[in-house]
Amino acid sequence: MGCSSSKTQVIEPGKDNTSERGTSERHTSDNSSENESNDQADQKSESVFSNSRKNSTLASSKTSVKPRSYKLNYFDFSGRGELIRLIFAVSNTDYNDERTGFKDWQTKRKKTPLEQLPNLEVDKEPTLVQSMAIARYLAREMNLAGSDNYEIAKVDFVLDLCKEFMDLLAAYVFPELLFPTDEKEEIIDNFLKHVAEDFLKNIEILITKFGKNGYAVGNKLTVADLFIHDLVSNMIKLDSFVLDNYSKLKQNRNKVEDNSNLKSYLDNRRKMQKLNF
Amino acid sequence: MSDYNLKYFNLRGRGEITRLIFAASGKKYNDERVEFEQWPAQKNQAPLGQLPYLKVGPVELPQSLAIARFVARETGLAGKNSLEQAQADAVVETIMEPVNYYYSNIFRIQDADEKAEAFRAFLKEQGTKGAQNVEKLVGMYGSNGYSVGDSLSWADLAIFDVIFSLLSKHPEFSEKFPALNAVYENVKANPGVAEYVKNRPETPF
Repeated sequence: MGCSSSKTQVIEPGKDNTSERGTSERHTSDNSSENESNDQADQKSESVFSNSRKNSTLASSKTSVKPRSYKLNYFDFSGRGELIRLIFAVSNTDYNDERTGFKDWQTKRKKTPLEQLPNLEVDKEPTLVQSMAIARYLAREMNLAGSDNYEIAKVDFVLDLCKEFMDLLAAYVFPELLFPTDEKEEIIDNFLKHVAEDFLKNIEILITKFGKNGYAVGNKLTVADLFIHDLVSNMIKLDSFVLDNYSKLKQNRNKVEDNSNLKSYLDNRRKMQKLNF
Repeated sequence: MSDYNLKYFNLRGRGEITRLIFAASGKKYNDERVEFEQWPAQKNQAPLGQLPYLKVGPVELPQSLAIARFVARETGLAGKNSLEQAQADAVVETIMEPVNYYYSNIFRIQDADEKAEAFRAFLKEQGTKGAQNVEKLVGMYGSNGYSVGDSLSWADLAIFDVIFSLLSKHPEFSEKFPALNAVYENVKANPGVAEYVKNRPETPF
């Protein structure tokens, strides 16, 4: 699964990097034109915020000139690592997708800083831990964090809700999918009926409030869209009709899947999936 | 009249990290504290019906960590660059793990003896593991009494808050976790924090 080609994204200081994606050798013209038209919309809305909350040096990294080398360490399933893979995929960024099998974990764990996965190795920097710290970092690097401090805060808020839901998925559902017990059906049923419904209801309200043109927050793709997509993908495996009553979420999912980089990643993932999730 | 209004109970709890960020940065804000009796009447005004939330301009932001991260960015305490911000996030997430465990499993115990016993066990296990993990991260990311890089960030303030409330009760804390202790002492000496801590209302937690 590791992307081993030498092409990496060149970050040029002082430039808006979203429109630079056309420099890739891969077919990304759809993605870059989508970003360009969104950039124009952003420039209009940016002037509204120019006096107050925009803090672009923190919103995205414009300090590095060399492409970074990234290595994601995680298990060979989606779980808490998939959001990070989606960020790399959407931004068309090369990285080493290192997947550890469960049987290798007991030996490998001592070599990780906190005996937890995922973690991210960036160049020669100390290993970055915590899935959400990693996701937020890469979102900033790839211009998927939000356009100004207000938007970043809204994205953060959505991410926090998603993380709470992911924690519950990891506590109740993933174990049953990996090592099913007799209670599997009942647990999953209860989970869908209560925990999942609450989460979907809240997210539907928030994206209606925060998002435009089908996006979750603001009017372009952010890491919030990706995390929502990831969590709904997990739920669809349990119940393919899970979004039936959520028109905004359905619209959002279609919009996100319009992204050509994501489309090819998802197509590839469907082919590669050995486990059920 | 300041731009920022932080609304929370008259407790440290999940609001204190943001109050400490304001205190360390010197940025003015309205520290609105709601008494328990007033809360039911006001609950439906709060986004998602929860506290804390921060009102700034037209935006009402709940979720204690989203608020803290936002205010840290506004006050220059998020981390000096994107990678340091990520390291600060990682430190905060890691120190919140034992805190969340405490809230989920220990906080609600009614019986005083049972609670004390559970808390002792917590300190020995989850509390110790959490402190060990953060001690390790501080060694990787920080230096000289800072948990990330070489300057104050909200990660230091989170460490201070958690140590003050929970981990200071850990036996031999300062010897077992010297890097954490160095951060704790460093934050304690910060003039903005020291002034704030001296004057803040005393609350059970």
